[in-house]
Amino acid sequence: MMNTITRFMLVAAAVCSLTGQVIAADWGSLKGKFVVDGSVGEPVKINVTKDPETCGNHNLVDESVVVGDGGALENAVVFLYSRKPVDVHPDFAEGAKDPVVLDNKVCRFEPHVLAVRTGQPVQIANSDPIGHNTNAALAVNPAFNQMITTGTPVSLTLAKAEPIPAPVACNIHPWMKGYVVVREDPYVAISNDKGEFEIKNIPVGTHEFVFWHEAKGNMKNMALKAGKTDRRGRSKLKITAGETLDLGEIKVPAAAVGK
Amino acid sequence: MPASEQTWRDQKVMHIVFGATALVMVIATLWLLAKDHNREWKKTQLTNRRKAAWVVQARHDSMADQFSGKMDTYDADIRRASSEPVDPSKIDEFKKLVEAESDRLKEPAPNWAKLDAAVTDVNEAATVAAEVREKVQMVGEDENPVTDDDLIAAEEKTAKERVDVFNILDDYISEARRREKQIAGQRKFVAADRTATLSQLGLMVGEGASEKRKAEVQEKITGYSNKISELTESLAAANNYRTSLDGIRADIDATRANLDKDRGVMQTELKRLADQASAMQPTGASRLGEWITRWPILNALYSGNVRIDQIWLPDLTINYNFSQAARFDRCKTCHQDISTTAPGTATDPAFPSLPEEQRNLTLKLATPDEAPKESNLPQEEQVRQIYGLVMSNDSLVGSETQAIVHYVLPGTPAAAAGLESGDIIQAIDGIDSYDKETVENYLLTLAQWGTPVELRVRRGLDHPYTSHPRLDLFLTDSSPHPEKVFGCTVCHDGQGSGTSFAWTSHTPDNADQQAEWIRDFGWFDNHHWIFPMKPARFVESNCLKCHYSKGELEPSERFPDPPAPKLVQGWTLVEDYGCFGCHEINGFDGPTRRLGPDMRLEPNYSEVALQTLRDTSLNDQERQLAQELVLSPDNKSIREQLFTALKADAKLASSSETRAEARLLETTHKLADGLKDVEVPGTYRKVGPSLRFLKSKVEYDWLYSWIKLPKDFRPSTKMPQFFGLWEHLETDPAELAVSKKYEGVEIRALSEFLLANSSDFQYLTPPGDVTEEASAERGKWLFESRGCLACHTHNEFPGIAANQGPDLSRVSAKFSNEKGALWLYSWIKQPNRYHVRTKMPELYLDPIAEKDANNQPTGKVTDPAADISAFLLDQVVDWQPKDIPARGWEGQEREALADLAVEWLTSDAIPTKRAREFVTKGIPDSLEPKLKADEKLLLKKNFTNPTEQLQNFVARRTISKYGCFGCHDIPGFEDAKPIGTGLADWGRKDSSKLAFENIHSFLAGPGNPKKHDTETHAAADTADTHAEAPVKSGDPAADAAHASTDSHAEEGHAGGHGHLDPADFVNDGISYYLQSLVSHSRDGFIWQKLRAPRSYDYKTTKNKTYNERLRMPKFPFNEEEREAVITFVLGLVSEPPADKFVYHPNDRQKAIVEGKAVLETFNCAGCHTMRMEMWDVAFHDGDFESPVDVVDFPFLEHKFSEQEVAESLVLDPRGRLHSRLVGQPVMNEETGEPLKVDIDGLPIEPDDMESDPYYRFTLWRDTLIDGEAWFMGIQDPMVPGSRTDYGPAEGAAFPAWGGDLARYLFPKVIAHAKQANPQVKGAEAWGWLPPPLMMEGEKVQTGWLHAFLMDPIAIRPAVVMRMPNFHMSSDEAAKLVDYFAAASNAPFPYEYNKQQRQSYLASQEKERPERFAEAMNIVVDGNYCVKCHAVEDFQPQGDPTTFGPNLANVHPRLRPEYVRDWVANPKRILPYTGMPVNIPYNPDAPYLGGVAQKLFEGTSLEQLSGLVDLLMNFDLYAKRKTQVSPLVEAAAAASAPAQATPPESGETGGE
Repeated sequence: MMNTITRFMLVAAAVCSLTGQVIAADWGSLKGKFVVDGSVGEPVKINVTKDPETCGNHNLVDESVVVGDGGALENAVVFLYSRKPVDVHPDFAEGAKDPVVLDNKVCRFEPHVLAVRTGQPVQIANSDPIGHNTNAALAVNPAFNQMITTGTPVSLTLAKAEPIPAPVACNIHPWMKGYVVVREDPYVAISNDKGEFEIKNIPVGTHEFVFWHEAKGNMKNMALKAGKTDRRGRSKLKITAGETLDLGEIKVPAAAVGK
Repeated sequence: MPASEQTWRDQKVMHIVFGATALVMVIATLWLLAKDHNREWKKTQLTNRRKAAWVVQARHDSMADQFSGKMDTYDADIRRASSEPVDPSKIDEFKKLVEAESDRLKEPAPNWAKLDAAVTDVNEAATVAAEVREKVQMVGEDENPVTDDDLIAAEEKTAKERVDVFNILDDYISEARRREKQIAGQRKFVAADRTATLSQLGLMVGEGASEKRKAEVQEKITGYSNKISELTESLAAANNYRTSLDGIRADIDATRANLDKDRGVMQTELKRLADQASAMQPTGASRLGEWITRWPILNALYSGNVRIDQIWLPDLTINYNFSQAARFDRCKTCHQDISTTAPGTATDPAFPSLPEEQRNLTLKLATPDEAPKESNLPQEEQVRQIYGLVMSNDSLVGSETQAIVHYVLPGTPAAAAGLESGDIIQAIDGIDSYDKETVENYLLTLAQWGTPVELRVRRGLDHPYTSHPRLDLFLTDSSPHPEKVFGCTVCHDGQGSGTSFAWTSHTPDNADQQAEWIRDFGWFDNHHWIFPMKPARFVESNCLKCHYSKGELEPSERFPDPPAPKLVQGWTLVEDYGCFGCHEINGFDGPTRRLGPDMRLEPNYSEVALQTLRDTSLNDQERQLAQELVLSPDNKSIREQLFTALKADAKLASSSETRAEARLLETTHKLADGLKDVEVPGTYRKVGPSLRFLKSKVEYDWLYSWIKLPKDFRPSTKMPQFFGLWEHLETDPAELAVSKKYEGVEIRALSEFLLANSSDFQYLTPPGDVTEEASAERGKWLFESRGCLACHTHNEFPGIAANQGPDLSRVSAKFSNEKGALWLYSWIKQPNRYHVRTKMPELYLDPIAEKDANNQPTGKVTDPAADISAFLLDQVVDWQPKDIPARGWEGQEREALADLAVEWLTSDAIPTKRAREFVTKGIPDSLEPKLKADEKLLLKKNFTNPTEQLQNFVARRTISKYGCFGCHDIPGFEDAKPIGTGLADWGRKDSSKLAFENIHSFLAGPGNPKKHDTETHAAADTADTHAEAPVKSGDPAADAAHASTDSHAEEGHAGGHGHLDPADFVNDGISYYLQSLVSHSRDGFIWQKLRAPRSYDYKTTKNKTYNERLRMPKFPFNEEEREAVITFVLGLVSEPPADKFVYHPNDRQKAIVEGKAVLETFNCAGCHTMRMEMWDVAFHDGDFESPVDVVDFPFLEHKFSEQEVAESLVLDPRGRLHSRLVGQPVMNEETGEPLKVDIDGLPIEPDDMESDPYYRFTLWRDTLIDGEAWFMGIQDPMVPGSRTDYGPAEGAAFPAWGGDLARYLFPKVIAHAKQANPQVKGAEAWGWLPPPLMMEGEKVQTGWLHAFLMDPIAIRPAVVMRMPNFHMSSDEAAKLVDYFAAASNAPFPYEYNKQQRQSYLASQEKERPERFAEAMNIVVDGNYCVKCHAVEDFQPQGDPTTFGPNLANVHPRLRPEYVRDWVANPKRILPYTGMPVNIPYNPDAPYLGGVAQKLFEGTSLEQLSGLVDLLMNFDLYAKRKTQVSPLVEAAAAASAPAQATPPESGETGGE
């Protein structure tokens, strides 16, 4: 008899959770701007030891910390972190399968940090007249390291989300380094040259967000308008329906990016 | 004498006597029977039987408990299945079959009315039953009008109806079966008729019957044959029909039948356990029966399991002094479960033998949050329901009952607490418990709810009720030592035929145990049995009976858990400390028969050759031969040439006629004998440095200080202490004074002599092209990165410690002068120039032309040897030689020197007075022929400088006395023999031959171990002051005072003088040895000998001369090391068992074992990883995510067999899966420590204590996890890690073998490289370090590797250090080559590479002539190979850390399959490599992927094979581009005008 009752309750619970998913279709956004607090100095010029005829004419600099006007910090990564799959706004359905391009261009990776969803193809291209190899140090997905020749892009699809942005390198040109952020959902933003980022259409509720920058990894213990990040660079933020949670200027101490 | 009535004795008395003796006899008989009936082992067996039955019963009860829940469900399910409706379509199918059959047999169509009615009845009843069931389930609660009983009734009704249907169906089936049988019977008869007719025909043929009759009979036979085939056909049809009907019937009843079967399995298992328990321990009537039949006399009828259990080993004999007797090992009589494995496992012990420290546990059992509700259930049942714990009052082996855990239900609080069946709960929250009621009551009423209760638990069993440890190694059939083959006593010793504890010669491991055994078992020390059992501490000793190479006993792939760690440690210590230099261990009896391990010094060929070179009269040829022999002593041909040459000269000298023609010195002639062949040469090098050129290296002061007390300068030195060992003399001031006086003389004489007697050495100087001054800063990085730390320790580099070479922290104090600096530079640069047999390799420290960021030379040239030398000498060290007496022999010292010389000269032939005269005036020259070599130094003719002669005489005698040449090359001692007792059979040494002397009074007095230990501890803290203290207190008064303080201290000890009670030392761990000394056993003797080597001289010195005193030095062993050495030495018994028991490795194993010895000699594993870490991970289903599928070249695919997959899915008794991972965790690039991540894969911050750690584990071998294949170089699984230790959460982590330096340098080289390039990729840094060599054998060609080891070349431009030259012999190199091939299962000693044969290439090129040219297109294309690789003359540009080896040199080095696999996907061979996939494989793309068609037309597979063939034949390719004919023509043309003569062969050579 107990059995019967339990079974009923389980069915009921299942029904509720199904409907719950449907109801939760309210969305909000998150935005902010990273500003470095303090001086990071001039960008370090790269000593081009290989293929100077191609790579030597572009004033290549070390891109591990890129700061624009007023200390705007580029290439900081913010992404939603959840152990369970989150609802994805229907707008994202379109484009989820469109390829994104990681280009080897003038002996650097373009873009420097690339975001891609699982199952979404990455076109690894080479716009330079010389050969590059693309060596992605993926933690969860199968290792990838292949020669990319001029004009013959290679397509790569990643099946699993990577826990942290995975470094991408070219072994031939030892200064070349980029990152690829692989997530199951589209809730990832990379700060632009003004230090700004925005993640739109996040399902309403309190979510954990990871703040990450390549210089020091997790941006831990960083003050936010709404609290601060923990030692793992995470912060729980509440997204309200139809509103944008603006974190405003997020001050990143120069020391936090290793300067 | 006439007969009379009178008897010889009085009858009455006789009756009494007879009566009494009869009575005595009866009593004696009864006594005998009783004794026999109550023999000790019977009781043990009965107890063991009870224990085993208890365990099985507990398992049975636990299973029954778990099943009983399931059983109820089963019953309901079965009832339900038996009341299912019958599917009409099945019935229709059945009907159709029957109708078709009737039709075929032309029988009337069957009447189905009855069946149809029955089916209708069933289905109606089933519908009713279903309705009832629904009502029962849906409505529930009180007012329900329908009850379970109604349901059961309805179901039973249906079941009955179903039976009716089945009965009808069965009728048809039995009819079918009847027919089938009938046809079969018919066929049998016809076949019999045919056979009869056949024989009839046979007879007719024999009798010559008419053709006609024969034809008739033949026709009959044919008729029968036809009939048979007809019947066979019908039979098949009938069978088919019947089985089809059966099938349908079974189908209808399938659900019920399956449930029935499942229940049957459970019941069978339960029954099996119950049977097993009762078979072990008879119950009821059979118990009574047994009890009776086990009585005396009746026991002839007894057939139960209480009996002597013995293993007969006719070939594994025991030495009874005069004969070899077969062994009867009856140990199992008491140790019944010694080889019993846990159910369902091959090697897990059923009754683990837990070490005492693991037997007392404190467990925490969680309690409910609130007090349990009042209940009418018995306490027992409540505890079961709340905690999952079932207890009993019982005892497993003892007589007292205790509160024992009967069983624990899985997934309950009790299981979570870790309680196990058989645990004794001794206390609960500190309250002692003697029965289960106490525990249950506490758990139900007294516990503090919500907080766990603390249980004090006693786990495990005592001997002999346990199983043997390491059943993977011993006893089981799958182990290398099955019990039936090896028995027990060959390893353990003891008296195997004994059946009582005392008489089997068990040996207690300490005094406490001994006391306990005497009390409990009447143990005694049976002196008459020469093979007492090995005590637990030495149990590994006997491995040496059958294992003669250390490598056989080291951890291996199959046995990663060290099989004999203590023995191997001892063996290594004996090797490292060079014990064999004095104490030879000869493992051979004749050239081939082995007796045991062999540790002997190699022949002194190098040293002899060096000494020969001192003879200035050598001719050029002799000198050249000697010089060559110095460097290659293994070169037999050179050695024989030199021997012949020297002997020829000696022959001249031996005859008076030709004496004048002899050129060479007499000593040289004598030396020649040292060049003779040795039957089985030793293989060990001397462990100390050469002293041949000593004066070029050190100064007198340092040397004096070193000889006096080596550890003063270098606390970690392996050189033992020879002087100042005076503990035993402390109570005897006069004797102590003698020692002090003469030891001082000896040290001085040695120092002076060793310097004066050494040869000149040519230092190396920096090459001319060096432009930069030496820099200590550069030197520091070079010291660290060039591999020095693989062998040496240095204070500046904490975090890595190696002891192959000495600790170099203090060398600046040793080489604080110009000579030292010159020497150090030469040594670093080319060590074997100074010490030809050193193990220190030549590091190729050639000048470095500095390059700028663009890899262009800056014009600066540095000298790394000078830099390293500068670094070492730059260290500020607070050490100086102290209290060094002024040189020159003055006054008292001169007298002491003379006195010692007198001591040496005095003998039976030379009285002291005469000796003193000799020492003063020299020995008359006329006595020369009678003198020994050293004494000739004192001849009058040599006595121009008597002091120097006396000094040299004393020094030479001293060297001979202490055997310095056992470890050092000392000029003039090339022919000296080891001075110590051989140890090859020391493990059987008759202890009556050991001189224990006054050791007991020493140990009870001044040598009391308690006092001694505190002194040693103090000494460790202040080594310097301690060393000096005894010397300073020179006057006897002070010594006496010292002694009296000691005796005060002793009063505190129990016993005091004259009495030593080993039991006082149990806590010190040395009671065993003291006991052993008390009973004059060799174990104790050697222990004390190692501990205080001179102590056997206590109170004996008065009656000895100074030079007769003991001379064994003291080695810096701690107690653990001492025990390891003793374990090894006690195993040396020279008693090899029959050959079939001796370990004989196969070729591959032999190559591995022999190779290991060479690897160890040269410390290859200091730099290289020889074997990766191995993690045996235990986990639960779902702990690992599934790997992602990858597409790769088909030949790279690793298919696991179905059996391997099935094995990886096996659950252990605890419900866990297992997987063996080989590789290493991903390391943190900054710290070099294994990286820990959380469950999401994010790195764990150092202050994070909450997150469960995981490791990303880089696989170095493809593996199966949970039935899924994970491939090396593709994905790293995330392994749940232990929170407390390093390794997996559950399971074991076996450490890597070798590669410490690589791991140490990993973060350092990254940091170093980051200075130039901040974007350095960490993982790649492994590629700059010494490579792991697990797969070296598969990788390289054997011939190439041999040459490389002999003369290493630089291969990889990216590496921070290059392979040094060890100057090994060809034989050593060959052993290494074989080792690598054997260890990676590659062919050896030769391999055949068909890809490099003309025939193969010709056939390939026939199809495609331009193959090489096209492949070359890929090599030279700017996108591919040449981007990073040099090819012949071409050099790539850029940063050398990105460069690979020159591709023109691949063909002699690598094996073709390796090159193919490597180019196809490099990461699958080296997971860390930066080399990309150049020829991608894509089965969906045109040409299967690959590179552009314009480079090489064809599929990716063809491109790859073309490229590999080119690389493997690059020499051929290059040769084809070379033309010699034009050169010949040109040469001819050039010489033509002069003369028309043909060119001579020599002339072309100049080209």
